[in-house]
Amino acid sequence: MWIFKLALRNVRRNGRRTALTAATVIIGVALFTVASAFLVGVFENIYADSTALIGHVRVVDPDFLEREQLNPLYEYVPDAQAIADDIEQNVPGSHAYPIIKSGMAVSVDDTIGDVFAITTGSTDAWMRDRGTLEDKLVAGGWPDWDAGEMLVGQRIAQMAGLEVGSQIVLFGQTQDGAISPVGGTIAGIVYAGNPMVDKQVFMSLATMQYAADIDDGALEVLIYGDDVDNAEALADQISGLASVTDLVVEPWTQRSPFDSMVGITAAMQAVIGLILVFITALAIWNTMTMSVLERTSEIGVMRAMGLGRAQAVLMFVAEAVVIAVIGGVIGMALGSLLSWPLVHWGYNIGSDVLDDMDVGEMAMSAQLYAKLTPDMLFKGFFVGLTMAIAGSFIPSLRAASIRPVDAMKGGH
Amino acid sequence: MLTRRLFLAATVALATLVSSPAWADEPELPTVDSLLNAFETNLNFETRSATMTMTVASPRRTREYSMTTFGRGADESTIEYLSPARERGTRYLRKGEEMWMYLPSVERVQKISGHMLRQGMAGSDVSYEDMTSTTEWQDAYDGVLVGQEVWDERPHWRVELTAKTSDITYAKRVILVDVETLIPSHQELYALSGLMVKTWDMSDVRPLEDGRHYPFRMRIEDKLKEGSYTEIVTTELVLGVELEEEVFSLRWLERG
Repeated sequence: MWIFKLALRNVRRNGRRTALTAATVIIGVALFTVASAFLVGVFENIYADSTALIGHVRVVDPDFLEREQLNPLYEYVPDAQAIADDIEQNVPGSHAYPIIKSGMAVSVDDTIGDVFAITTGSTDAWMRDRGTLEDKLVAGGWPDWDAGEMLVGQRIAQMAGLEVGSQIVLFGQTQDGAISPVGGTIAGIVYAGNPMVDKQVFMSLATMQYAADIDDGALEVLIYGDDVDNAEALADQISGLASVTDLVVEPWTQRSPFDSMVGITAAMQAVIGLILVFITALAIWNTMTMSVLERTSEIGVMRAMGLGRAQAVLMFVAEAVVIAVIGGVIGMALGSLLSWPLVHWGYNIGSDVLDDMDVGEMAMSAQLYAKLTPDMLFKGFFVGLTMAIAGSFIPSLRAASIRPVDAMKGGH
Repeated sequence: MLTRRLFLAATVALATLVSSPAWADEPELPTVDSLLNAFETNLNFETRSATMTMTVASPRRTREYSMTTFGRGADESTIEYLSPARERGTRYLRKGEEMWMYLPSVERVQKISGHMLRQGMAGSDVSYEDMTSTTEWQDAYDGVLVGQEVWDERPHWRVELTAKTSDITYAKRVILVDVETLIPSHQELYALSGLMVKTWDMSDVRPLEDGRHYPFRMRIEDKLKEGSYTEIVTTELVLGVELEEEVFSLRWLERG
């Protein structure tokens, strides 16, 4: 205990040096907090927005999976609604929806145009509950799907010059590759800030089934559980059902590009943490080394009075820990303060950037938000402590190696 | 037009009968130009109407379409689907190298252009580009008459055409022309890479009342679509029909 009292006294002895060391920790912890909050926020938003549209788990034909890049409409799941019903009945808490997605050309005049949209056909429930398209309406109202009304993403509306009430003709393909036109009226325009919604046209499942010429079938059955993080357990439950025996049950974590992205957040956080620990530890090492040099004689006397090597090390490390605790708390506060605008207002990278990016199934928004959690703050605090211990350890060893006689002679 | 080559075959056959019935007995070695000239010359028929069935088969399912077609000369033709119900009333109009389709489900006329031209008509192995591309092969290709060979137990001239420019859909065509009827019984169509992308066979060649020969069956195989083929059978053919001017107009396309 007396070692800590000694450490506290040393912290107070040289206020300028303590402030310098603490400032290093404060900046390190704050930077870590801001970087982590932004990183986690961006990725979690992508996961949340994407899984809302692609499901926590999906059921597809195995051949569809093999050639998914080509979107083979003929590799569909037959009796998709029956499979969805079976899943909902047998897997408690699950919600399942048949869905068909396909690229279509949007006709602007009498020539099949160059405006392409991803068209999604599903149930009204999917549109409302999962796509949350009602919340994303920026013009018009909710479609009467049975009357052939559709929703169109704002980007497509802009590109094709469509307004609420416009007649739209889309040219897709049947499962055999024949040109398949679909006509309808634009009931509403939706905007989500990401191409997964803004570059889409939404229509009823029946309309899509007609367009693709796949009666009662769907390309995918999307399933949602209570928690997106339990997708793999949900997939295991669904795999046991007889109705999906010849099909593939795939959690979103195994789908490209998410399979490779899920580990990236943690890895990037670790890399940022390591870099900050290294840089800050260097600064702390520098100030602590100075401290050891200045107090060589004092250490010599203490060593002569019986201070052991381990106690000498502990004394300097404890001093660093005290500074790290103070710096860490302030760093957490500063990091939270700096993160706040990113959490509440976000940062807009511009929709033009997304237009040029192939984001695939990722629902990446132009508006990027940070996410700050207590867990993240504790990680920041831990990083601060690690910085201090790592930075003080070598100078502490140096202090412990001082021989009392040499120190009192004025050398060591 | 879907049946462009069919008419080419028919008119070539007519020309053969008119000009030289001795082809089969004493085949002289024709020049490539004379063969290609026969193609081009004989495309200029008067008018005709036909009823056809088209079977489009893939490893997954087989679909059958019935249609009526009208044609005038080499550059004007129409097609109207009679069945199945999903396609009924869909009409196509070709004028020269331009093509439009009328889609009854959306009551709309659309011009087929750009990448759509490379798609198969009704999902068949016959692309819109096949139907609209010019048959003025003398301008587009350099030809070599390789010799004679037997195809379907009949003597044929083997002609190899190589595209003069790289923008031609098929960089190379190998054509087996029936020595007697001058019908191109078998065609192999190659991409620039040298890959054979399609074969186009004409068979069931019958003499018509006016003396010309006519292939009542065509089979097209897109070699890039494994296990698929398209067979077009002419079930009724009438030559010299009276056609109103409006038949080959956008107005007709829309109103039928």
